[in-house]
Amino acid sequence: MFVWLTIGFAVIHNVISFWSLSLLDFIANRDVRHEHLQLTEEGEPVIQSWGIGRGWTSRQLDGTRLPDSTGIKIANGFRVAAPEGHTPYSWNRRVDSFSDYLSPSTNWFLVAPTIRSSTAYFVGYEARSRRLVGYLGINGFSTAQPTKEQSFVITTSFYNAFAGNLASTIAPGNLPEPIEWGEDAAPPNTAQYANATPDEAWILSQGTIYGIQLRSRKVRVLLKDRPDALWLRQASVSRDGRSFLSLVARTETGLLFIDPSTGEQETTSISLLPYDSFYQLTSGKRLLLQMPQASRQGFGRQFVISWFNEAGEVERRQDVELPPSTESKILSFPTMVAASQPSPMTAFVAWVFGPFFSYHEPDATRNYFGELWHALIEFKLWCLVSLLAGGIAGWACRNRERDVFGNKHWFWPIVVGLCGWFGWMGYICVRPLPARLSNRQWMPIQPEPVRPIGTEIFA
Amino acid sequence: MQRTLLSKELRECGLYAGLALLAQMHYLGSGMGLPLIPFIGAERGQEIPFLSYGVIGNRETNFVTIAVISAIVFGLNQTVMESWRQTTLFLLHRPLPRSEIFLTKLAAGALCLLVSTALPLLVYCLWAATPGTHASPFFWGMTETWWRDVAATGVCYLAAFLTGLRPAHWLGSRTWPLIAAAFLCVVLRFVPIWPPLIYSGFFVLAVSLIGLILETARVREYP
Repeated sequence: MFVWLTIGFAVIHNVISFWSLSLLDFIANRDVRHEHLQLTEEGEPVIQSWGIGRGWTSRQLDGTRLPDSTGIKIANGFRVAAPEGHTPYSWNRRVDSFSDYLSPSTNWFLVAPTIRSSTAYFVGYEARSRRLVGYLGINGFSTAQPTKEQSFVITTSFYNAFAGNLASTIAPGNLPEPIEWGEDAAPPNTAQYANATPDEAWILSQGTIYGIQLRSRKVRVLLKDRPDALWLRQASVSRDGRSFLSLVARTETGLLFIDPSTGEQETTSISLLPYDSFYQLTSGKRLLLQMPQASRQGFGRQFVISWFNEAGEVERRQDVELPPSTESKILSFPTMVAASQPSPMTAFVAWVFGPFFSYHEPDATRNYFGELWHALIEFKLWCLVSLLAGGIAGWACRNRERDVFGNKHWFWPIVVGLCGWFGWMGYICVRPLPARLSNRQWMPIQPEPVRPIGTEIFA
Repeated sequence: MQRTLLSKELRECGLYAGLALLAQMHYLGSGMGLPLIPFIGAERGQEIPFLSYGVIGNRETNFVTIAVISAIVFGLNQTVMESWRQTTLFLLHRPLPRSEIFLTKLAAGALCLLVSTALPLLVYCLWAATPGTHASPFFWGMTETWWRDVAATGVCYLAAFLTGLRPAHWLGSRTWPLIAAAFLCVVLRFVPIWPPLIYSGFFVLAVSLIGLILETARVREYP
């Protein structure tokens, strides 16, 4: 019962402490403006700031305020960090759905059936009759389920191994809209590219990029023998008023740009760090946004922006530093944990097992003791608060056990001391104070029976 | 005597179990194209059975919400309502050990829970596994998290039973076991570890709660 009551109270305490801290944080930071560096679609950096009741404002690096903050189009970049090296555990991330938008349409699903084999294949169902149509593997269409050797090998999430015109219809767990499409209807919300058909998608599988055409149910090899390719993305480029699709793959030495129709490759050699973001603008410009002093969570206020020319060389470089934040850190993670978990046992468990689960870039080298030391420094307030709470709870429990219950054992003081404030609340529920007698003594838990006087036999 | 008691408990929980079963039939039935009330809830063909866009889908949210609410209602109805009507005093004077009385009550509650939660889910699974019923893939592994919901519902039922049985103030510590159970169930529902370990965790929680229920029933001074 003690454990259940302790956990139950801990949950209530956490809810109340988080709510209180967020309220304090809201009050303390009402006048603070939050600033971010953004890149426009033209490739120019702007600083956007936001404050409660003030809305968004934007300014250039020289301080010139931009008149229409909401009208600025922000460029979409992608993080260059290497992806996680395993198939996702959740089924929601192991099935993606597409449609060929024919009439009658076929729903196609990219499925990773098992985690262990890291293989995936397409399976198609006719939307109207719900009949199984067939499968698409590396050898193309078949009516039999592809074997492991015939399947695509995807050792990461689909997001990192998949690109294509159909990408905008990816909705894990949702079917494509169940309506009938015209004979040559274009998929909704997808751009029309001059060098790609709307129904084509690309998959990176063990250094080979496969092109999949869902309407004709064909699979072709676009690029092979690039085992150093880590992930696949897509970007669009405008030339002569037409849009062209470009596939982008990260390699060990930089970025690889591939034309999806011809398979032509173009390499940009850059030394990439996990928190860097790369931008392929529609104008054809390429930028790299770096954060040389990013925190472990990937935040920073110092940036280096590099503009590349068509030959892939850096033609311009600019350092940007945002003004220091005036934001109060009441709701920072260490404060929050210290207030919500005043328990030595929780802190100990978090420190011992935390480094195994702590956030890290997938390609970063991990050092258990380094992570442990970093956690001790970052959460020193938690260490102090939990030890204090545990000491006080254990001491109070020891006094109570000795003075009230006449118990000299150390079981309860140690357990309560380890559980801290939560343990104390659980303890006083399972060992409530007995009634107090008129002589200021505590009534024993089990009152002593009346001593026999020897005349009971006559009663 | 036990059969009479079981019959009485099933009769009393039957109404709530029936309502929960109807609600489950509606929401799971709408996924199969057979809703009890048309036009309410997502229709067949808009989602892959058992999968969702986010962490937890609408259909699973409906399923687990109905299941947990019904479990808490069963648990409290079998304890708080009986204390309020003083039926417990009558029951405790029957020629049966206390443990048998409360185990019979728990068996009745568990049966109601299975009928209103596990049975509709099983029907939905069998429908999804039948070829030609929906135009999307199905693997039994997709249903695994839903069965975790069923296990979590069982733990919540036992915690609600214990909450109703404990002699404590409602604004004090009375609801803490239920809050703790709900929290632990959420953890076990979402933690990505080997499924047999998850179900072992649910089993340990359930056994611990049954032990506490019997102990509380033994030492509690009625009324």
